[in-house]
Amino acid sequence: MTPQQPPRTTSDPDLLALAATVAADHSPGLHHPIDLIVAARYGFTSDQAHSVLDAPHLLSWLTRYWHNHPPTEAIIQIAQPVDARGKAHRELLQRTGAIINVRSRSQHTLAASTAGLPEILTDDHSAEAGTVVVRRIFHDQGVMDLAIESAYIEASDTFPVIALLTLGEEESPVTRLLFLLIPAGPGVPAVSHAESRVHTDSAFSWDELLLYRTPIEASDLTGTNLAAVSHSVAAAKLPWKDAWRRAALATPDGHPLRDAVINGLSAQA
Amino acid sequence: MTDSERDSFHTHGQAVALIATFYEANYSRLVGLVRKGFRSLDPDDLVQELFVKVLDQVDAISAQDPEALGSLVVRWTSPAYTSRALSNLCLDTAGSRWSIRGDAIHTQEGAEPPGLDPQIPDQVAAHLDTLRSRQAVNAMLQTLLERGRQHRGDCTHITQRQLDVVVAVYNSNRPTTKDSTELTDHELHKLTLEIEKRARARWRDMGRCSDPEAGNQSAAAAELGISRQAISKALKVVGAALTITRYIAGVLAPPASLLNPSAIHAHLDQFDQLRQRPDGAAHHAVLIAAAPAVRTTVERGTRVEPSLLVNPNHDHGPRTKQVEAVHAAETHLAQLTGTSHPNCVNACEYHTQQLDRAIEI
Repeated sequence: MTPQQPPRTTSDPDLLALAATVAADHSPGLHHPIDLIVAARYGFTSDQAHSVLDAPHLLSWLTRYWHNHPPTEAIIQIAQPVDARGKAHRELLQRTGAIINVRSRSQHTLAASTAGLPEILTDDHSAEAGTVVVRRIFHDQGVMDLAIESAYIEASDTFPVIALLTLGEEESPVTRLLFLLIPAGPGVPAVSHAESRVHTDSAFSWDELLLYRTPIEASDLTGTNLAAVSHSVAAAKLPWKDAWRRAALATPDGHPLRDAVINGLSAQA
Repeated sequence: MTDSERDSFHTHGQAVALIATFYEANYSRLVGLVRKGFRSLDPDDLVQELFVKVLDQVDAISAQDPEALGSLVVRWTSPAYTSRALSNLCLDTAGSRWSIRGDAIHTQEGAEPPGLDPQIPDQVAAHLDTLRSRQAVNAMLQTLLERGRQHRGDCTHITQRQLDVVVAVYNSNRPTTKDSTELTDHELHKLTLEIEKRARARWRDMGRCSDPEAGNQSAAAAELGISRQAISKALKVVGAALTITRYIAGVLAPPASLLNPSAIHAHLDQFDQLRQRPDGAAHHAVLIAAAPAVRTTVERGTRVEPSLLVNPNHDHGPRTKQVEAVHAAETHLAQLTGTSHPNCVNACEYHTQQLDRAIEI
């Protein structure tokens, strides 16, 4: 606004006339592709999110858009809280395949009867998301191996990290473990994969685990994701510990990832 | 663009809102350019792809660099610049064999009406002001409609039906100052058809799955017509909702709140909840009464003009007392919303950071 601009009258008729002109050109809401792109990138209102969830053609558009332009950090952040807007965004992420539900539930009683053999829980999303999650639970040893394979995420020149979160009934999702992907070996259908070993924790045996299909570059981790780095480095198997070290060394001095990785390397899982 | 104009881009959110408003207003033109120049390409895909690339550029600029953000907004809200960029994107996509066709876009560009592309700083500033006003009104309407769908009841809201009536009335050739009760039967019938047409178009836009009420209302409108009283009420309700929203989420809120539907929701929520708070009902009534007295002047920016405050009951005493009541209510609400510098009626030292801050509308 320039100070030289003459005063404008802002009485009701002027406002109404402007509103009528604007609404005649374009219905407010999600009736225009530009509205959809802005919302898909920076966040929907709660009402808009429910409109998309209720309209198959809008959901289909969003699925295509997020496939070509993965959800931004802004969308991920909006999806974290337990308020109505956060829940609606989580549902959008799930319904568009941006979040994978790791649903297999541990049959602990049955597994306990087969001492020495791991209970294997496999969530195969290779068809729609190119991702497979395998949990091998060694009940008698109290440890669990988690493996993530991705057919789409290239890890040759970068350090892509995907996050595994637990989802409580009335709580915000919590980042439990980060997986730094490295190229898979020859003869394996997956392009990249990661493996970690953790002490058996009921949280990891639940059927309320979420996996963000879209990777985050290790140096871009912030907030709760950055806080999970040390534990994740400690839990990572040897080749992935080394990958975390390389990721940290690729950042400039003073980068928060460095301290987090060093703490993880010197800690016990 | 003047220095003050550049400084006025405080956030990426404002930049995105302005560019999005420009793209919405120019979408059909841009799609038409691709359709005529590059028949083998999907025009919607190309126009949307260009918009995404622009947003990538906006996001890449540091929030600490408002100068760069301002320059980017000026560039990407210029019709000629976006046409050229779209042409280049089409050429990249289609390959050089289409270059002759691509030239057609440049030719058409030259045929654009003079004045469409602002060149001098004053024109640029006016162009951006127009975009800001449109975006603010659009965000206000979106928010008020959403509140109507979600809550209704006591919260500040409008319905889609009321907005359709307003659009139909202003789109008709009748003078808008004419009293609705004086409408002839023929005029009423034409308004009804217009309202029904809008409801149907919206229903089609949303894949025939939005708001089932819209279909019922449309059918009822066709059957029964719109009453004169309903038209009067719609004009009154929408006008009042816009007026109070401009005051609460614009005048008494941080800069650029009116460009963001989520921010408008947050401020209106606090305002609506005032009535349930101790002493809140009195403040609520004072703010409602003061909202129509908001004006924009060069000296005082946008704020309540004390001389325009109306007190039909004369039970609040002399004007100075009335102004103090407005200031107390504004201060109370600003504390609830966490707004440090509302444009208060007194332009007091405590609240005022920029005396001439004008809002978007």
